[in-house]
Amino acid sequence: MKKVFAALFVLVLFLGVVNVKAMTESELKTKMTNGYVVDGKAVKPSDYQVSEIERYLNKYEVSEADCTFIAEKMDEIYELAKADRAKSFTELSSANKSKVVSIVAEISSKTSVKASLTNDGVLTIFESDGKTVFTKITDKDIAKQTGVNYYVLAFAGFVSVFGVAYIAKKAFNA
Amino acid sequence: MKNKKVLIYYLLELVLTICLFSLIILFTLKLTVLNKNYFIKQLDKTNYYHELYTEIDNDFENYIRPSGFDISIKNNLFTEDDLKEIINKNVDNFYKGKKIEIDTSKIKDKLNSNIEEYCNKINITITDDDSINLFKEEFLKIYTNRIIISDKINDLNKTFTKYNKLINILFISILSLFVILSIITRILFKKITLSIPVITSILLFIVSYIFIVSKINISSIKFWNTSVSNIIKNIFNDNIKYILYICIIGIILELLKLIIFIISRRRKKRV
Amino acid sequence: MHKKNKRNILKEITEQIVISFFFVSIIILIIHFVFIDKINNYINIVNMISIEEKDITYPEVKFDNVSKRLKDYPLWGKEFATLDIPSINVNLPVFQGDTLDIMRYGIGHYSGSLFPGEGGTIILAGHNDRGFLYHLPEIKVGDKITINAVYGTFTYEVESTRVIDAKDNDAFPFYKDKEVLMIYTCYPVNTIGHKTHRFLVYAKKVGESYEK
Repeated sequence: MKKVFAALFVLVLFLGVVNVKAMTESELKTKMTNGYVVDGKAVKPSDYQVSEIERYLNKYEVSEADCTFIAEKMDEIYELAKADRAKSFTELSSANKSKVVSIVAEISSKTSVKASLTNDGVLTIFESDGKTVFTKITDKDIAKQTGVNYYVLAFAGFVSVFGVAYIAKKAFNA
Repeated sequence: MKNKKVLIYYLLELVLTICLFSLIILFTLKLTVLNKNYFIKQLDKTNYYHELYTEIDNDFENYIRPSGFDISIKNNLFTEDDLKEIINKNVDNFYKGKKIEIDTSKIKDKLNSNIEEYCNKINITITDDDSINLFKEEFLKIYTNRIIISDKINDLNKTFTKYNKLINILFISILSLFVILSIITRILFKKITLSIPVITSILLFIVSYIFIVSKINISSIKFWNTSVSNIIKNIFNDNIKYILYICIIGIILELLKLIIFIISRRRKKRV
Repeated sequence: MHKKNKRNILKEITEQIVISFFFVSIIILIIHFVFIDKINNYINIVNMISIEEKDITYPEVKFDNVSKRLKDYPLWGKEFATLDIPSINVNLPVFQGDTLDIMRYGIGHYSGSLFPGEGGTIILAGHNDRGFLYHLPEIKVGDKITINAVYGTFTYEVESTRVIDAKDNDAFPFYKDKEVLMIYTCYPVNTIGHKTHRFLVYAKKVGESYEK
């Protein structure tokens, strides 16, 4: 669960890296390596997740406008984490979890980075064609079960249904 | 006084227009999303049960592989018809506001029997019960989670039921208001005044359709899996389709009204 | 009279249409000023789950000898190499990605790790059943492992092996300055039930040759 939370930070974080005008290089480097501090504890992406997103950014250019948008969204996620004193996705409140999910979806819809929640419940990032998978970032540990992992499905349920519940709640709260 | 009367007339027409517009939207929602039979029909139409069966079967196979068991232990655990029965029952529960539950007793018994058969076949005795029990637990969780997605579905159910009831009350209220105001207008102004509300509603739907189509990329919707994506697309398209039919009926009725009016005028003139 | 009637009917129809357009304008203005935020919210929510598909041709996987990085990466789920371990009779295709569906067909490459030749940690995973990595626990220190990728051939020598807990992420250190191949499978291989451990092999690079 912590991995996905960190991964979300990585996603928004690295999409801010490309645009050096949005923030200075040294600020970005500091942000990249330190992550965020929540409740006195550092929430950092793993080196593997950093490498994964780096690979994406080496392949695709992300515009200045997109970077600025992502940087704003990153701060929003941080505020949610701070409010819940959450150091991982699981520690977020239900409402804030669904907000984080919708922030990621918003990033996907408003920027050139296409991502979606799949039936595996992982953060799937697509190639520029919108259908070929670039990578899947999961909440799992590095070593897979090499069989179906219940934790992924639990997260799938959590995230996906919260996606549905959030949409339904929004629709019905008219 | 006459001016006031004209003002009241057009005000009533405006209210009638809003009522008619709202009624059409609520009516199409009641035909589609809020209709259990429509939803079940969509599950059939988008081949949802087959896709779900394949997903569960794949997941079972993926989990069995590293466990040391043979793939055969997943044989005959469940069928597409079993899935259909469970889902239809839970969709029914969802629309009635009842709890969503999956009965795994049948599949659990079959799994136990398959494991026992396999162990007897290869002549082994299970010594690590914890490992096997954990395996069975995980196995059943795969099945349950794929069907109901998550326990949070029951929370969603409560919200849905609440707003479903609200929409029903709203529909009846607006319909009553529409009828009463039509009668009042007929009595006060001696006119059957459905033309303006009908024409306005049709124009509003045309504007709304153009607006929605320009803003939303319905054909690119991707959510959960292919079937669910198609269900969402179908709901959108069906709503638009029903509204279109109602508009066409409205146009036909207006034309008929006009023809009848012209004919009656001519008859009066002859007389 | 006939003409007068026609004129009256036309006048009434025109009046109704004009009034209708007027009402449409009023309603649109009301909706715009009162509900536009909510409407935009709904539109955004729906568009969040819309991803447009395009047809694009992807270039072949190539290696940049200057930056020591792949120029074009293998697409998800595509085979880009073979894993050869003669000592335990393993010769399997390697695919990009390590989801369960991918690993049904061969070895999965953990997409967060680097690729052979890039000078860092490479993580490969495979099922522990026969025909896959069932014999991985029999591998010995000093055994040779070859990865024949589409862009070059890389040879590794086993340095150590260990059994780890499935959740032990520290067992997979991320190196950028030395190329280490890590291959794992579920452990133990010859029991039945849920596996909570992994058998992990560490191998260092001892040779390489690149395709021209």
